[in-house]
Amino acid sequence: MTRILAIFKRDYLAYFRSPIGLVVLAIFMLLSGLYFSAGVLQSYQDMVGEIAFMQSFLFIVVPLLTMRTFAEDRKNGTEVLLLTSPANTLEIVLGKYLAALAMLVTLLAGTLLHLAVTLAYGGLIDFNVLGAYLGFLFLAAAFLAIGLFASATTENQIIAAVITFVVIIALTLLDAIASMAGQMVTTLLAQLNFFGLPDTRIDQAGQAVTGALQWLSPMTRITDLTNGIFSLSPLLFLLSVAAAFLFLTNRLIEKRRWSQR
Amino acid sequence: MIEIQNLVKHYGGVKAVNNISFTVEKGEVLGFLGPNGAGKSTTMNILTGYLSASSGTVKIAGFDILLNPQEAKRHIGYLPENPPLYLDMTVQEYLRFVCDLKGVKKHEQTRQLAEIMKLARVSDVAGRLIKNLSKGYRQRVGIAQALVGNPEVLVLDEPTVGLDPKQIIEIRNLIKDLGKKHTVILSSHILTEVKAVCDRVVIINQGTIAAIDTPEGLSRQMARANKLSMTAEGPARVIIEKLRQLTGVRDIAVLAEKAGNLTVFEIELEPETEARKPIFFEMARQGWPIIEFKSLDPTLEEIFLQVTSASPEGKKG
Repeated sequence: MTRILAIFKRDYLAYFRSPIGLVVLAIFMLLSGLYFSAGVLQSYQDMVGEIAFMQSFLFIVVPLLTMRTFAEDRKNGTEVLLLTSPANTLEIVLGKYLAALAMLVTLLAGTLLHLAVTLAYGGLIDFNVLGAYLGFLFLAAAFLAIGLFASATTENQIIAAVITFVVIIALTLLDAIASMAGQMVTTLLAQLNFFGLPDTRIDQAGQAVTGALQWLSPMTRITDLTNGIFSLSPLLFLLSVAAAFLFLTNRLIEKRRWSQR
Repeated sequence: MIEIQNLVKHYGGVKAVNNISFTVEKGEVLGFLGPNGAGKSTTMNILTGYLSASSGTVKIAGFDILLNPQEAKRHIGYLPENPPLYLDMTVQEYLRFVCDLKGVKKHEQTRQLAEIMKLARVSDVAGRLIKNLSKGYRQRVGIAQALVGNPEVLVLDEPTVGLDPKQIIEIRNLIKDLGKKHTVILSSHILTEVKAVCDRVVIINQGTIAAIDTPEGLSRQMARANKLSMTAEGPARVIIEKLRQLTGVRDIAVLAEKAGNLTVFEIELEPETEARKPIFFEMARQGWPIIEFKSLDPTLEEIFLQVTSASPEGKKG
């Protein structure tokens, strides 16, 4: 636990030692501030809208926060220090993950100011807002784990960032991709007519593909939250994604020790 | 303190480390000598737990590095080839982080850090960012880092590489001091360095151990190839004829000819004889002045050739 804390502390503070953490913080505050100011000017402040707006920037924020985590340690050779210390790889992964998560919470904390202002001037703060925050956090937690994994695959920060960027965009657009994939299946089956399937069957197949892909989409899962409908299922889903990628990261680092190339 | 048994590591299609076994006793300073790519760093990476061996075992203070890594690693301080420094931290911050990482108790940290920084002589740069430090200071911070937690075993991979001569001597003296309290393994490809600080030397070549001996033992082996270089003025052919007749001179040959009728000879001596005096008097009697006289230190390559052809162990590789 003390070792997790040691790595957490170093990595979290590292965001402020290099310009990157401050730049991300500045961009985040600028964008949320702009949205908030626009709302104030229209005398209609919508915190759920602001969170959703900021959520759409996760595809750029997350890669910036995670690209350095493992790639830089590997490139600088500081990885040797971590891996030959009494800390095991899981502790290292958790320490770094929690640091990234803490940085994201720090970013989000800036919007609490907007929340306070909204509240003070009689704005509406309800369960939808709480849901939006919760959704944002869990979504980011899942994305950060993906970014951590991408960073562990390479010693090049840029590659790590690009991988994370592409994966998050793909996940964000998964709804659109799902319906496109469904249509493709339907069209293909109809055109080929290879199995001699009836039309209803073909439609069902297309819908099944769409449904399956939509099931994976993290975005559809958190819409309920922003409508103030709380259930465990989306949170568990996102937590599982995070846990799965942290597990993979751990395995990947563990595996490299055994590599024979 | 350190037991290494039948260590093998496959790497990039070759055996980077091929069946290495040796033990290091408590309080010993062991030198790990070999040319670049001999498998020194790989062996060190394995015994510190950074890499895993393909087969074989490593035990540090009785703990297997694979089965009980946490306990084993607690007993090791490691300075890899490139010191693992966070450039964006100050020396003080960095060493505190290493303290936390190695589980040094909070209330002991200040005292221990002061001690370590004094020992590694980095106290005067404690507040500076590591990225602004010179190579020599970075190396010392690397050594300081290895000392955190007062581990019984220190593994230092080429600790003096890239330093200037003054720094090299300082680091060597530091390692000698450390050897009094710790068990040290250090690698090098410089023979004199290993001779200067080590109790025992392991020579490694192409992943196998070519020889394990004390530095004195190695020099004794080297005595067989006792060579002198002599620069003298005079007729080269006659000098060779005359000197060859002296007892103690096994062979003599011209190494180079220089301007001003000077010739450089290489003289091979019989072991355990003192042929320098007879050579001097003979040359003096003939009126051929000796300009320079020096013993040729055997190069690492010569040692390798000798060691691998002489010791039965070397023939395995």
